[in-house]
Amino acid sequence: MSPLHFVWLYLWTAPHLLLPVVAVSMFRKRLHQDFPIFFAYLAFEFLKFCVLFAIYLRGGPPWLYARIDVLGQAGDVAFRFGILQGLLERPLAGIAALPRSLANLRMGLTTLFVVLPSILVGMFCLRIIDHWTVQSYWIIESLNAAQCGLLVLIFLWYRFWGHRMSRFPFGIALGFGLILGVELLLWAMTGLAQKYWVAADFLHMGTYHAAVLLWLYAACAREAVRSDVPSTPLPQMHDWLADLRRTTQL
Amino acid sequence: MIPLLVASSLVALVIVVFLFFQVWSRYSRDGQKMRVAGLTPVDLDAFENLTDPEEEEYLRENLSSAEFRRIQRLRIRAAKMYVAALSQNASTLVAVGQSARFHPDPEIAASGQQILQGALRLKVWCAVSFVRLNTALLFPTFLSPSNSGVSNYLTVKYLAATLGGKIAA
Repeated sequence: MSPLHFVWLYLWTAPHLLLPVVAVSMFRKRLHQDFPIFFAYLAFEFLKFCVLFAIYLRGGPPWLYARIDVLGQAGDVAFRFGILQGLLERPLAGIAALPRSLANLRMGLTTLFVVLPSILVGMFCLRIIDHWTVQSYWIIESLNAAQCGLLVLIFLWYRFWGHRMSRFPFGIALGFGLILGVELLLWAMTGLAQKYWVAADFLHMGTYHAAVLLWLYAACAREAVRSDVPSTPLPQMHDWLADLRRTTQL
Repeated sequence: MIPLLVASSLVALVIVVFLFFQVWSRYSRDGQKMRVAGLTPVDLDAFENLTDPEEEEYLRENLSSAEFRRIQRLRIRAAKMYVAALSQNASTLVAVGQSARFHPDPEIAASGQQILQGALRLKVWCAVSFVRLNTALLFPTFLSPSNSGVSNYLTVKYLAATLGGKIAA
């Protein structure tokens, strides 16, 4: 086995073998209750890896590998839309009863994040049946590009609400941002020059490895619970009270 | 085909830079300073006056149509500035409420939850008001801004002030 092949095998297997560790860490901290779709995504990714690796080891037919790979990637896309939608809803979790305008906005975003992608994923699953594997990869890449935009939207959404993302959702978003951003770059790179596909493959796997390590860190690291913010505006709070008294007396 | 691929690589680079900025603003000292900004003082009486329907009716009756539109546009522009300040303050109150939720004292934690809910609602109100004010700016004769958010703001501000008093005690 050449060193390059060894590195390639490592980059393929190591991150996938770390996925159950991330899942166990999540389970121990009860994070799976807050992020059920991400938890399911980890299980799905691990299962997909097991099937593909088994086909690779047994020297299965390439067409079978390609079909399962495309189906797996379609599943990834669907899961990612669900995860992004979950992240989008988190800032509103503090409101017991949403105002009607916000409830409508939430409904619209749910439609954007779940229903529309589900239809698209379903459409290209039908194309796979028609043996249009190459086109399916193109559709997946297009959806990945759309997810990049949605991810940026999520960061801006949190900023709009003035919400600070806790460590785990921040880790999830950052990991997906890395994967999606680099994937888009590689898609362009291999599209411009086919000879770079080996380098692109390594970079893709390396990025995925980095993302999994990021998730692992976010799941394992102890979150510093901040209750110090009231100390920062404390003098101001007394001013607010005085101001309030003045305003209510008017 | 090639322009599309070049555009994709540029978008990818922008996303990577954007993510880097997110990490920087989260962990760097400068970024934290930006986040823990204080409240901007807002003169609520003046804001109430700007959005008062009776005041608007008085102006409508005593001014010519063209003059009313001009004055009303000026009032709406000023009101927009107040809403922007309120929106910024709501974000600060969200941060206060979010932190206070984890305070060991259950009373302060409960107040933090109340502040968070109120501040989020206020933030929604500010967003809706922006749309409403911008529309009113286009049609000043037919649409008028509302002042229903002021009371909401006062409630949240009062809760935050009470919380400050509790911690000081």
